[in-house]
Parts: sequence; structure tokens; C-alpha cells
Amino acid sequence: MSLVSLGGCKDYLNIVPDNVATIDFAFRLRDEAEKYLFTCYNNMPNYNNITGNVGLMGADELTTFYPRESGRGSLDLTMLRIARGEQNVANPLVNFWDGANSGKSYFMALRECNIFLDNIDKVYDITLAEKTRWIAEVKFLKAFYHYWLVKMYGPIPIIRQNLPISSSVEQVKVYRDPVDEVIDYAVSLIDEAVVDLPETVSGQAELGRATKPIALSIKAEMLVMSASPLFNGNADYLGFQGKDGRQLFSEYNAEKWQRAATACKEAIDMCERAKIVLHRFQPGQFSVTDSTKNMMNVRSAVTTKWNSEIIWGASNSWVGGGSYQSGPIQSMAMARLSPYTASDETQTIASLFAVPIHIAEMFYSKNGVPIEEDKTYNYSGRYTDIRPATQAERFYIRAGERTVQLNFDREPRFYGSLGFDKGIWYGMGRMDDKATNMWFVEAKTNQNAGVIGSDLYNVTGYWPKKLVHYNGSIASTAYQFTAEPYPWPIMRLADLYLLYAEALNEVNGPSADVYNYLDRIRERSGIAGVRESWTNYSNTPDKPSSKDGLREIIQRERMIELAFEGKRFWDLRRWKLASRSLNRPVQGWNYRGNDETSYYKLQTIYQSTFTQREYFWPLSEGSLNINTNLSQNPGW
Amino acid sequence: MLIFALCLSGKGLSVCSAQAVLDKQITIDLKKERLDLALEKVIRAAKIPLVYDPAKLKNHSINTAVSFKNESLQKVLATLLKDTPFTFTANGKQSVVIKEKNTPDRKQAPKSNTISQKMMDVSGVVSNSMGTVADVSVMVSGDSKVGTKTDPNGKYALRVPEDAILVFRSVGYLDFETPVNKNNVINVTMREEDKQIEEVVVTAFGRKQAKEAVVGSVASVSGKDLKVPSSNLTTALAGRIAGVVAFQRTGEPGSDNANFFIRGIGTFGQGNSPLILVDNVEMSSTDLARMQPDDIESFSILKDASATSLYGARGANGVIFVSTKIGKEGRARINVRSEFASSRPTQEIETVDPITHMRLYNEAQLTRDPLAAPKYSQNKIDNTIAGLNPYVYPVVDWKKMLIKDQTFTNRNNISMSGGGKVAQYYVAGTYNVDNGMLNVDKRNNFNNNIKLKTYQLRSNVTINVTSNTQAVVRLYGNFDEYNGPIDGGAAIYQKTLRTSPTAYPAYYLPDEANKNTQHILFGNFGRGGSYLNPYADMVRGYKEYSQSKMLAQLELNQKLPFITEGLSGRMILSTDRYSYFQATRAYNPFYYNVSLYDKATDVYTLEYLNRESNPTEFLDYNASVPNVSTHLYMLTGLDYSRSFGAHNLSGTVIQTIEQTQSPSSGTSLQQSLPRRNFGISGRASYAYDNRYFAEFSFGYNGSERFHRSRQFGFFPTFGASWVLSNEKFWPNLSIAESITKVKFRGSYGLVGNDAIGAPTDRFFYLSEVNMNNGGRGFGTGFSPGDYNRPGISISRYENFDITWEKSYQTNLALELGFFNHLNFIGELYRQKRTNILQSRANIPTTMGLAAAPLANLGEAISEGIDMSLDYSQNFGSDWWVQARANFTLSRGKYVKYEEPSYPENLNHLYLQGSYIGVQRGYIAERLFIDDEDVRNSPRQNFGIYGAGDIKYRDVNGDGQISSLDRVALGYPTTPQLIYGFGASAGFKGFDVSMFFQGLGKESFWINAAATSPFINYDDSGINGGRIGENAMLAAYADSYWSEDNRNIYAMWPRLSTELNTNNTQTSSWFMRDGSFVRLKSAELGYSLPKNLTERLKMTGLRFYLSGTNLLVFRNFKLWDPEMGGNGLGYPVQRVFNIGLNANF
Repeated sequence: MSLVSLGGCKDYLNIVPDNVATIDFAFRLRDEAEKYLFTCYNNMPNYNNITGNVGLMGADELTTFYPRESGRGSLDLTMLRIARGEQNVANPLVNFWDGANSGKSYFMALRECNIFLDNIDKVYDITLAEKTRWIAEVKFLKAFYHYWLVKMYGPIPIIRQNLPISSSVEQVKVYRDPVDEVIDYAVSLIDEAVVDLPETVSGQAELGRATKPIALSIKAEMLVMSASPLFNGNADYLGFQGKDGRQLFSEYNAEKWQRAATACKEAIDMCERAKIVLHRFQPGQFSVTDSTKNMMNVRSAVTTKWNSEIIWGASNSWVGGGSYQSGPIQSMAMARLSPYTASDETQTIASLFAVPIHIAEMFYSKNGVPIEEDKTYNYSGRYTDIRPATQAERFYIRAGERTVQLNFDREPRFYGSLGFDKGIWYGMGRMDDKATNMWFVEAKTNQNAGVIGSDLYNVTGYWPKKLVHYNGSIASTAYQFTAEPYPWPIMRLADLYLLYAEALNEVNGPSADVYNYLDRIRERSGIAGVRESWTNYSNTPDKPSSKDGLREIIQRERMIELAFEGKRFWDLRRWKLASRSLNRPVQGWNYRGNDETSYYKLQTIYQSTFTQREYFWPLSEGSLNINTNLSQNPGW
Repeated sequence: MLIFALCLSGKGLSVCSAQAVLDKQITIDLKKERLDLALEKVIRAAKIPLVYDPAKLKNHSINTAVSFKNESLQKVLATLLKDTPFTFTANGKQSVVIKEKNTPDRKQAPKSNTISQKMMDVSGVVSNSMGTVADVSVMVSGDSKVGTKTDPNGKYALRVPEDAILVFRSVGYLDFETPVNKNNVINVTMREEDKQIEEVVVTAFGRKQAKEAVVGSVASVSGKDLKVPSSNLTTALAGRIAGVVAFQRTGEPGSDNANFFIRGIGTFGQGNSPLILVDNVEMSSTDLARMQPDDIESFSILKDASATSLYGARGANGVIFVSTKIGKEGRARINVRSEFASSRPTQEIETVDPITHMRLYNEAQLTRDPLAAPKYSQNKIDNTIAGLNPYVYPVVDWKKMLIKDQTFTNRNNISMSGGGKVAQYYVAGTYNVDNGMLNVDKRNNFNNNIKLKTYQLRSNVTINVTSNTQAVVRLYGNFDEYNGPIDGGAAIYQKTLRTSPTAYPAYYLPDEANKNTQHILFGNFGRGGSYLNPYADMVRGYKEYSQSKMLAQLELNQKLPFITEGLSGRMILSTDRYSYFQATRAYNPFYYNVSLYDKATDVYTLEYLNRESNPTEFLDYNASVPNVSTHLYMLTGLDYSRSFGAHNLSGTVIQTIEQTQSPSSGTSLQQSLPRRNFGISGRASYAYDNRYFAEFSFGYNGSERFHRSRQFGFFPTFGASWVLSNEKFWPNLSIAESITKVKFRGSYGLVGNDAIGAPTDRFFYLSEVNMNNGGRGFGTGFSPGDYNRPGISISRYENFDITWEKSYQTNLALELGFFNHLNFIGELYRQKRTNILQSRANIPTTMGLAAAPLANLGEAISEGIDMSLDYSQNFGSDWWVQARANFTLSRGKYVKYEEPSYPENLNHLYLQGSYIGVQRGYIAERLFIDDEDVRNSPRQNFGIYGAGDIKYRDVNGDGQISSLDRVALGYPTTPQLIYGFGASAGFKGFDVSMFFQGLGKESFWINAAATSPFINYDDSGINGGRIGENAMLAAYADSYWSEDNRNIYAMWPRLSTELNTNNTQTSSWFMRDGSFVRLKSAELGYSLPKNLTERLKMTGLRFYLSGTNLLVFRNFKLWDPEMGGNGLGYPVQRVFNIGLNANF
């Protein structure tokens, strides 16, 4: 009956054993610290699915039916809601500021980078070389996350150091820093990092980790962005002040373009040293025609894993197939090519990515100029004239099958990037382009790729074939599709060339260098150089010789070359072209048509809207209430 | 103080010697009066029968007024009888005999010379205040051979010695003794054990306290009053006890626990449930739900700080203290109760007919997208109306097909109690069967209808080891065995409301190709058979689970008179074990749909839909990880109680140690560690003259959850009471005739609440780090074997400062008694809760924290009134009436809550100042008239909207509707007002009772998403990924916005086949008044007359019919308002019950 002494009960309550994991354990051993390094990498956007990559459906390149019809399970269309003008301040979509609605919390990412940098010296069993490299990698990532936030929000608070958890309420109420300061800070981080980064990674185990070419390319991309109209002397934002009275945007500064051009060149030189070159399609055992090679070069540059052109592939974002509910890109992009016997909601061909007509029209004619400028192109009949494909056209369109003019006489990248009614779908186990059984799309209602039943279908009649690896395989029934996965290309050499060309043109206007880098890309896809093409075929032959004309050409080249790679969303914004391009009806063929006449009719899927304020994301109301030192982006 | 005078009543510990009777302390004032009348008062004060012949005594009287304060009975009687020819002696331990001084001691008389004694016949009638009493034993004192019992009419006849003393004894009555004195007829009126005076209240740690002496706020009811025809005790709480807020949201068997709170919700932190103790051991609300009212000795609600402070850091939300029955000395008494109940929903949700369903579905599609292809073609609708082939054009009433109208339950309870001097026992067993409500189909090759069998065994054995030592051994086991469909009945029920009535039938009859198919051809639709078929879900397999809880408890009570008089010690050791495991066995159904139908020949061809999902004809099985837990509890304590004249002192010191382990339920190392609690508590009380009472108590607790520096908390309380009606002047007042009792009491003190934060937050002072988080890692390859590493994530930062919630509680009460028939208790209370745990609101996301820091920042105040009124009276010998009413009003408010500082136009966002539990949402103005109206209104930010959708008010005037426009709406979702009233009456063998219960000041929201017609809704995952199609409620079909009928105040906005997130925002549109009054229970009983039961060798037999939830008065008509927003959930049940209760 004796009462237990108080001292004894203190022990009684002390039930937590030693060695319960705390954050200190992350920096005791090299192998644990490596996990933390990877945690910093883990914050990279999920490029490979429709919920992580706003570039896919957030603009006007890819769409799908909306709202979901019942039966589409949990398909997350947050990104499409942005394209539909549903962005809002109450609960912003793709919120990378607070980490909500398909957005990651990038301030958390930055905190993790800082935790790593603050603690890595505690690890005792790591070599100095490795530690130096890791620090450089994390500095680069820290720059990247700042860059990403600027891209979305414009001015942001710079996170140089972590604030302690015990900080006072006043300390944590940070202000937004001017855009230029954030960019300069990110540049300085990259400059520090580049010194210690390797030129190339050593072996499979390091693929996707930061290198000199990666860091320099991202720096180049960032500086081109900061020189672009949205950030450089943008009259709409010139008066925009922080709560501390600082101007958050600065006046136009031509120097920025020079800085960008220099950075691009530096990156290109580094890529050359690292043996990064434009990729060419390797068909394997078969020899294929030039037509096919020209068509496949761009598709292969995107989908061949770790090919020679890839500067930065997203190791954590492999593009694959699989059950459609989670929206895997290859499954979304794939058309049903084989007869459709039975069906399943869990089928691996979702076939939901639909490319609007105006994107299909954006691609050049076979003469390498816009179809609306091409003197030889039957532009007026593009929606109406229907004819069978000739034998000569058989590498692109199934010989003898009839389709509409818009699908004829186009550049190889049109055929490499898009699937359409009667278009050839190269690969999928049929690699010999001379064979007569090449896969091709049949898109009308009740045909293989068209509406069957009421479930999964393409609402425009164009598929982003470019995103589907040619080595994927389909079974005799269309629901069985096995994708050949590839890491999402965050940056490839063609992108860098185009950035360089753009910056150079802005600095000095048309020059041999500008044409050179553009033509390298055009040549790879089998079309003639810019000046040659425009001179011979365009009704505005002088266009390439003026700075403005050439700018237009560079922009279009960029949108074609990088179509469906998640760039257009951001490019339209930094060029301040979004309010023009994203305010139009999004149209497609009448996918419910079951014959030529009913199918080849334009149908509006929705009216896309873009208002001035959408150039930048809104900060959530909640954030503004909590931190009254933050100013909302104009218009929101 | 009376509590520790253990010889008080038969329930207590019968260890008193004969002398103890005379040691009984009494306080009494006597005037100059007749001796017999004076002795009458002594009886009342001492509660001990005095045996005497009034005829002889009335000629004597007391000559001077005399008063005694806490004097022994011995002293009192000696004083009173000093100058009289009488003397007294203790007769056994029950009574005192007063006789003439020269009378020979009767103990020597009876047996020594029987022959010389004159025998005589005595007869008479034994009655009580209501009538004659049967079965009263009539014996001659000191001679066990002579005796009889009264017959059903209360008559007896006996041959006895002339000088014998007759003893009349019966359960529930005080023993009555009278000398024969040569009277041939002796009619006796038995005095019932006077509840009014004897009433004992069980307070903290099982202390029994005379009601008069209670200082804290304790409400108690007997198990009998909680008897309702339900297998769930918690459903009986609402409105029965003042201060308890209770309501039942679902009738789903097994999870139909009512929500209950003591004095409402006093915190906006996590833990707001009361501490539940059964025989001193903490139990869950489910354990409480399983208790049998027949086994309950007392059920107490401890409400204020004075009552709960001994529980220190665990008492802030109030305490429910239940003690179970223990055996009483005497012959074995057997109580058998058997009940058979049928239950059916109080109200069924009404849905539209199948044809309307199809038409409205098409309308919903077309009104949102004119180009849409209607799901139900006109052809299908026409053919369905025409009643063509029922497999091709099915019309399925899923609910009718799968669910029976009513279900049956059988409950059986048997208890035995009795024992000798050394040991007494109470043993009870229960066997309940809850039968399925599913329609079993003969296509089934195994029985998967629900059958839930519950067995319970309870054994409480009391052993008097020595006169000073008592041991109580309690053993308890509860065992559930379930066999039923995999989803359980409730999920099947919900699925029937989520499936299209016409898209496909439950199953097909075989077509030509399937002539020889062995499996059932389940109906489905679309690709892969991905739609919901509740029939297939029901018959595809079955689940078995087994659940048990076993408890062993030893209590030792040791009196320590050798140390000092009045000191005793006690100890409790208790452990219980819980286990649960389950297995499911099922096949994967084959799904079909009609691919071709030839109208002319009425022949259809089926299409096999789901080859890819690998359907099987054979069963597969799946067993879950068993869930086990153990609980250990140890209590040691010392009690002291002693009177010194008019002063009574008592004190208690108790130490408790507790540990719970449930490693299988944790998901992290920290959660796998045991939960421990350590506490010391004490009380000192002082009473003076039964008029003034004061009490100081404290709890000192330690919990392993907090950092060492914050681990222990000290919680002191002070309380006092004054019984005005015991003052000397009171009887002289004129109102004393009518107001027989007046008592004031009050308390102020501090109690704590350590149930703060999420259960996953085990140790606030430790960070929670996942060192191998696969989801936060990074890989540099795709294929297995490529380089991949997990990442490191943090889900809680260390925080040394987190500690208890504190509750400062003030209680004031007034107790009144009128005419000994009517009792009133009214209490006012106020609780200030501080240290409420909340997330730091001022940490911007730019800090980049992975987990919100928490702090003990919040403060709340809750205030309220609870009142109870009790009435009981007998009219003549045949009639009796009892009535009572309870009323509880309780409101909690946010006083301090960390939130951003809002500008002027956003003041409506502050939670501070609003009621706890009030929902925040938008003010819905009306529906949009047309698209023009939409364009001219502020932009709404919740997804696509247009004409016919809900238009919200722009409260802050910023030109758009966003979260900044949310305001507090209505009342909290937990009722602030709960009341109940009822009456019972009896006439001879018949009794009838009715009990009404109501609640008010509650708002609820129709769950717009769950009731959205046609959408695929599955919040709880019961659809298993299959696609549903919500039913169209008839009420919505009657009133919705359509293009033809643009009713901007229609109940339902424009139809849609997709969830419309604009309309499903929390808003005033779907807010409803939750108040109601219902006839909660009614009962009609008939007890067989004694002459009949005697022939059956019984002591009592009663038949009764009872029912619950029989009637309801309310504003809201769509479903039972008690279900709140959960309208499509499993309905609250109306139960009809027939039972019998037999006593042997």
C-alpha cells in the first residue's frame, strides 16, 4: 500500500527510448545526408503528369472534355481549370506559394535546401569533394526554386537563410523583394554552384543530377525570362509596389538581353564541351526513309531516354503509361490504333489529350513557312477539301485514305508531333516504314480511335503523338498499351539554341548567328533555312530580315519545336502574348461525326479566356491575411 | 459524515457488530413531548428501527427539551429512558429493542422452556403505503423454526409464544419488529427503505456520499432509468440527466453510439469527450455502450471542478462514473430479462420513381451541356415505361431488393446474486443477437446475412476476508462474433441510394451463350463493369470478425482501526485486454450487359464486360492485421473519516498509475510506445452539524506526452455547501411545511484536459521525423534496381512548451425539496478554458515549415444552466405517479484565438467571440436568374457556375466571392439546448411511462455533395472505386431550378450530373434548424399478481411493451433531424420491443 515515490514516477513517465529519430540523425552519416540531398531534389515539379505540370493543359496546347463526365474516376483537371479561367484568390490553383491544389510548397523546398546547407558540415564520413559537390547541387536547386517562384509570382521574398521556428510574429512577416533582386540572387547562387558542379555525371546512378551544363542552361533560361517583355519594363506592372514601398518591377533595360545572350552562349559552349548535340533518330535494325527520319527526329529527341540532346532530364519524373486515372502522359496522349474488342475503365490507353485545331495550324507547311503565308499552300481549303493520300505521302498519311487538306503538305514536325485521322503512327512495334501495315489513326465515331461507347475519347481529333515513345507496344486489343518510359526533358539543346537566337535577335537584330541556330533546328527536321524558305515560299519574303519579323519567326519556331513540352504556357506569358493567344475559341473536329462530312466540321469545345492579371499567379487570401506585409499581385 | 459509517445500509459492507448499532451517531433536537413520539424522531434520525410497544410508552414523556449533536444512540436512549421503567438492548445488528426493565431477557426465553410458554395464534395483514405486501417473511425473533410468509393479499397467520417478538422482513423495507403482547391480530405497515433520506451518491473514485453532504455537482441515475430497448446504452442518455448533451446521428448497428458531452463543449481543442470510468477503470464510449442497464448499480455524472478535480488533468470535460452491482447477503436472487425487438427507420428517404430519374438525368446533362448525348435514350425510357423485357429495360428498387423493412434483435440477460456472510456474488450473463436486415437471396451459396452475436459475462464477488478486510474480484468479458456481408449492412444501405435504378439489373437470366454458366450473371454498365452493383457487393462474399474485451480486477479494502479509528486503505489492480481480427472471403463478380436485343423474339444477348479484372468463380480471402491492446490500472489510497461531536472530518489520498499499449494500431515508432499516466489526488472535507460542509480537493497528474518541465500539473478545488433546512430555526418557519429542503452549494477550482492534439501527436516535445520517406525521395532511373533513395521528412517540430488545457470552473447550485414529493436542482456554471492547443495562425507559408507549429494559445468560456425536477407520489394504495424533467443549456465561446488581424471590412472573419462549433460559410442570397444575372454579379470563385446556381453575398464588398466573405452561420452543429421530460404511472399491476426528449439551438447542413442527384459520390470509400449514380430525392425533384421554371428560391439549384462545387460550398442555402422534440420512449408493463407468481415459484414476473423514437415534432421534414447533415446515412431506428422480466 505504500505510495510510489514521486521520483519513481518521473521515470515511469519517461517511456521514450533513446535513438528516436530526430532531424539530427539526418546529418550524422553520409548515407543519411544523401537522403536529405535527395529530399531537396524531390521538390522538383512533377513534370510527368497532368497534375504536376501546368505547362501541359494550363494553356491551349492540350485540352480534354470538361467538366468530367461521370465515370472518369479521379482524373484531376486542376490544370485545365486554369486554362478555363478558373484561377482565383480564395483557393488558388496550382499554388506553389502555400503548397496546395497540385502545387508544391516551394518555401518549404527552400527551407529544406537551407537546412541541408546549414547542417552538411556535421557529417563526418563524407569526402570533401563529395561534400563540395552536394553543396553546389543544393545551391543550384535553391536558385531553381527561387526561379520557379518568380516565373509564377513575379516578385517574391528571397529566402537566403531560414528563420528560426521561434521567430516573433513581426520577424516572419517578410516583404516581397523586387524581381531583379531575386533574379540576381538566383544568378549568384548558380555562379557559386557552377564552379563545383561536374561537367557530366558519372554513370547511370547520377543521371538527372545537377551539372555545369544544367546550371548554366537554367541560368540562361532565367535571364532570357527576366529580359522578356513581361519582366523587362512591363508598363502594366511598373507602379507595382511592395508594402515597404519598394518598386517590384524595374524600367526597361536593354542590357538584360545582352546578359541573357551571354549566358546562353556560355551554356551552349559548356554543352558542346559536355558533348551535348542535337539528337538524330536511330531506327535500329531497319533503314528508314528520310521522310520518316525527318518526322521522327523531334519525337525521338523528346522520348529517347538520356539521348544526346538532353541537357536536363527529370529523373524523378519518368513519363510512362498505366491506368488512366492518374493521368500518365503517354496513356493520355496515345490513340487507340487496334480494333477495340472489349474495354475497361482501367485501360492503359486513355486517349484524352486533345490538341486544338489552331495548334495543328501553327505547324509550318512542307516548305517551312506558316501555312497562312505559304503562297503554294491551299489555305482556304484547309477545312473543307478532302482527298486521298498519295503513295508518295504514305510515310505520313495512310496511302489511299482520305483526310482533310489541313493534314496535307505539312512539315515533318507536324507529322512527328501529331496524330490525326488517317495519319501514320510510326513505331509501336512496326518500325519498317516501307511495310504496308503501318499503324494509322482512324478517328471517327465507332472507329478504333474514335468515340466508342461514352467513355474515353479525344475531343479535337488531334493527338500529341510526340509524347508517346515509338517503342511502346500495343496488344491486338487497344486497351493493352505498354509505354516505353522516358525522363521528362526539362531542357534540351534545341530549347537552348532557340533561347540564344531569341536573345541575339533582341540585342542586335537579325544576324548570321541567329539564322544559324534556327537553321540547325530546322535542318534536323528536314526543312530549309529561314531565309531560303521565306524567300521562296512566303508572301512576306522579307520577314526574316527585320528584327520584329525575325522575332515572330523565332517565337513560332520555338512553339513548333517545343510543342507539348510544357514551354508554350510560360513563353506566351513572358512574351506578353497570352492575352492574344489565350482568348479564343478552342476548336476541334466534330469527334461525334461518323463520316467525312460530319466529322470534318469545326466544333468549339470552349472559349478560352485570359485576363491581364493572369500573367502572374494570385497569392491566396489566407496568405495575405496572415502576412500583411505581402502585397497582392495587381488585378487579383 | 455518513459515508464511512459502513453499517448504513444493506448495500454496504456488513461488518458491524451489535454494539455498532448503538454506536450510531445521531443529531437530534427534542422538545418536551410524549416518549413514543420522541422515539419516532430518533428512529428517523438514526435510521435504525426501535422495537417497542407504543401503547405502553405513550404514557411517559420527556420532561425537558434536550438536544444531541453527534451523540451515540446509546447515549441518546440512555438519556431519554433514564427516568422511565424502560431499558434498551441491541437486537442483533439491525434494531434496538426497548422493553420494560423487569422483562426477562427474551434471548433466554424462547427455546429454554418452550413447554411452559403459552402459545397463541396471531394473524394480520402486512401493508405498505400503497397496499398489501406479499411475500413478507414473518418470524419469531430468536427462533428460526417458527415463521411464515404473507400471501399475495398480504395476510399471514402464525402460532407463536405469547411473549414472542415478531420480525417482519422483506426486500426494500426496513425490518419491523413488534412484541405480540397477547394481541391476536397484528396488522403491520412496513416502512420502505426511505430513498429520500437514504439516498447515496457515488462520486469520484467510487466514494459513496450521502446526498445531503455532496458539495460538488453530481447527477446520478439508476441503471433502471437507463433501460431502453436498445443494445446501446449511450442512446439512453439524451435528456435523462441534467448537464448531459447527447444526440444520435446514425442508427447503424455497431456504430450507433450517441455523441455525448458533459455541459456541452467547453473547448475548441481536440479532446472534448468526458472521462468514462466503470468501477474506477477508464473505458471507451463503446465499452459504455455495451453495458447492460441491469448490471448498473449507479450511474453518476460528475460535472463541476469539485466533483472532478480528483481526476486532475483528465477531468475538465466531466466524468461519467459507473459502478456495477455487487452481491448482497441472502438467498440467491435470480433476475431474468428477455427482449425481442423489431426496428425500422424512423423515416425513409423518398426518392423519385425510375422513369422520372431517367428524365431528370437527361435534363441534368442537357441543361449543362446542350450537346451532351443523353445517357438514357428516349427509346429506353419509352420501353421501360412499356415494361418490356425487365432485364433489358430494368427497373430496380435496390433498397427494396436488398434491405428488409425491419430487423430483429433478441436480447437476453440473466443475473444471480446472493451469498453468505463471508462471500457475496453478483453474476450476470448477456446474450444478444442482432439479426440482419438484408434480404437473403437463394442464389447465394453461402449465408452472408448479418448476424452479430454478443456474449457478456460479468462476475463481481465480494469476500469478507476478516472483519476489517474485504476483497472484491471483478471479472468481465465481452465477446462479439459477426458474420455478414463484406461492406456491412450500412454500406449496402448507402449503396442502394447510389445506384441507377434503370441502367442495369442486379443480375441477368442466362442468355443462349450462357446456358451452362455456373456463376451469377451480374448486371453492370460500361467499360469493365466499373459501375456499382450493390447486389453483387452483397452476395459476392462475407466477412467474419471476432472482437473481445476481457477485464480482471481486484479491489482490496482494509480498515485500519489499529492505526487510528476511521482510517482505511484500499487498492485496485485492474487489467483489460482487447482483441479484434477479421477475415473476408469473396469472389470477384462477373459483370454483363445486354449487347443485342431482338424485340420481336424478346431474346437478348449478353456481353461480358470485365475479363480484364479477372473475375473468379472461387473465393479468395483476406485477413486483416489483428488489433490488440492492453490496459493496466493501479490505484492505492487511504481514507479517513471520523466524527468528533458535531464535527466530521474526512480525508482521502489516492495514487493512480495507468498504462495503455496498442502497438498494432500505431503507424510510427512514437505511436507504438505505451501511453502512461500517473496521478496523486487528495481531498479533505469537513462537515459541521449536517448544516455546513466544506471540501478541498486536488489532483496532481503527470503525463508522458509533455516535456519533463511541463509533465506535472496541480489542480486544486474548493467547494462548500449549506443546508438551510437543517438550521434550527427552519422548522419553525411557516414555509417549512411546504419547503422541506433547501440547500446551497458552490465550488471553484481548476481541472485539466490532457487529451489535446491529434492522437498521432504522441510527444509534443519530440520532433517526428520520417527518415525513410519513399514519397520524398529521388531516383535516377526508372526500372527496378536503378538508383533510388528515399527522402527525409518532418511532420512535427519539437516543442517543449506544450502542456495541458486548463479549465477554471465555477458552479453554483440550489436544491429545493417540496412536500417530500418534488425535488428541484438548479445549477449555474461557468468554465473558463485556457491553454487550448491551436495551430499558430500567424506563421506565413513563406517560413516553409513542413508542419504547423502548435501552441497553448486558445481560450474559451462556456456557460450554462442545468436543472432537474423530480416528482413522485402515491395516491391511495393502488396508484403511484412519478415524473421528472431535465433541462440543459450550454454555450461555449471563443475568447482568445490566434488569428490574423483583419482589416475593418473583414471583421466578420474573426472567430473570437463566436460560439464554439458554429459553422462559417457564405450567405446564399438566391439562385441566379440567368447568365445576364451572373455577369452582373460579383465573380464567385468556387468552380463553374451559371444560371440556376447559388448566388452568394459579397460581404466584404470587394467585387468577388471568396473565402473572405464567410460569416458565422446559425447555431453550432452541437445543440446548445437539450431537455427531456417524462412521467410514469402505475395502477396495481399495470405501469405506463412516456419520455419525451428534445434539443434546440442547433443548426445543421444538408450535405449538398452527398445528396447531389446523379453524381458519383463516395466520401468514405465504400464504393471501392466503382461508379455510382446518386438517387434523386423526391424533395429535390419537387423544387429545383430548371430552364422552364426559373424558381430562384427553389430548394435545389440547377441540375448537374457532376458535382457542382459552387453549390456545395457551406452556405446558408443548405442550413437547417436542427431542433426537435420526440417521444423518445414509451413503455407499458404488467406485473403478474403475487398469487400467480408464487404458484410459478417466482417472486415477480413482468411483461412489457416498449418503443423508442415513436414520434417526432420538428421543422425539418426530409429526414430524421437528429441525424443532422448525415441524411443519407443509416437512418435512426424506431424500435418496438416486447420483453419479460422474471425474478426468482
